[in-house]
Amino acid sequence: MPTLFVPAPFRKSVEDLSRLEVGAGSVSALLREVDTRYPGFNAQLHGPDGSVKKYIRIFVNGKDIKALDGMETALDTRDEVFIVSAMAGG
Amino acid sequence: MQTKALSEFDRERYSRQLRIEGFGEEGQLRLKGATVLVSRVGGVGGTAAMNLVRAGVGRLILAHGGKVVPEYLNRWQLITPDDLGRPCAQVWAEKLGQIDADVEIVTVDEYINGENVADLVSRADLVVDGAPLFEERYLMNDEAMRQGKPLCMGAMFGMEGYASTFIPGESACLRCVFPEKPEYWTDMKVFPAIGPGPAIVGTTIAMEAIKVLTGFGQPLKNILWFFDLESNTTRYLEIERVKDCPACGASRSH
Repeated sequence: MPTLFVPAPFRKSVEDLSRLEVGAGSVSALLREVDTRYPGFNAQLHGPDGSVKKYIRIFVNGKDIKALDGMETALDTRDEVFIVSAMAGG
Repeated sequence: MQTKALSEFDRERYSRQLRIEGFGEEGQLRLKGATVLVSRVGGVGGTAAMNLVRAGVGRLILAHGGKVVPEYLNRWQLITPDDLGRPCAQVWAEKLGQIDADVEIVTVDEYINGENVADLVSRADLVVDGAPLFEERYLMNDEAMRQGKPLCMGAMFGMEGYASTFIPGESACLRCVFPEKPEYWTDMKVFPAIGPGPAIVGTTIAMEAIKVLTGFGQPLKNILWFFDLESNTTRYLEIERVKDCPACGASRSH
């Protein structure tokens, strides 16, 4: 089952878990499934126009989904979806 | 970059790193001839500055406004309660001077802003950015890209951190990766922090600066190196230059 890494700013909405196993065949399906389990999760990632917020990047196996098939990037059982939110702490 | 000669004391002081394959005396001399601008001397920038001085950088420009307050004590290397109330940049210059009095240290008792950024970047060979506000980071990024200066960037939030090196004309920059700041990052009180997180980030970007300045090793070009100390996760994430990026895109001349 694909795994999702959840960055710290969004963990409160998934019971403080850093990692979730989610059965899904694409990035968009995975995020929908997480939102079903934890309503409100997706709303944190997307802006009013429905696109991913510009301070969030999503990677599959270390590659930015923008360089793959975007939200429709296909997922296999051993794939890892990694979300990173911009930070500036020093 | 100006190149200075190594003294006998230098050869002894740096004897361990002179033995590193690919670094050697040539790398040491390049480092000694280099000027690095450090934006903020907090948990990230201060750690980077300390490591650069120990490694033998020739000249540092430390830009940091304000005075030392108690909440800095949990993560700022070298700072002690005796320093409370003193100007941050000057305290750091004093401490770094104790490590190596031969390193030239210029203090700027201001944060990076629209008035000072162009001049400060123009005086450096490379920029190290550890500022806690996106406004300062975007200003620094844009100016470094405009002037064709490499920028080693590191940041953290809680137990997470990341680092990357932005080379104008060669790699992604901050705006390529994160064109906008998070709406929740409203001030510098936003981020939780405990010492080891910013220390790892600061140490990493110091090594990045050393690699870029000396030509030794492989800098984190087009890589966002990410870690989460809570879940013991680390990843090398591939990032790409955006062709029409307003800061570093192909339309910009370098």
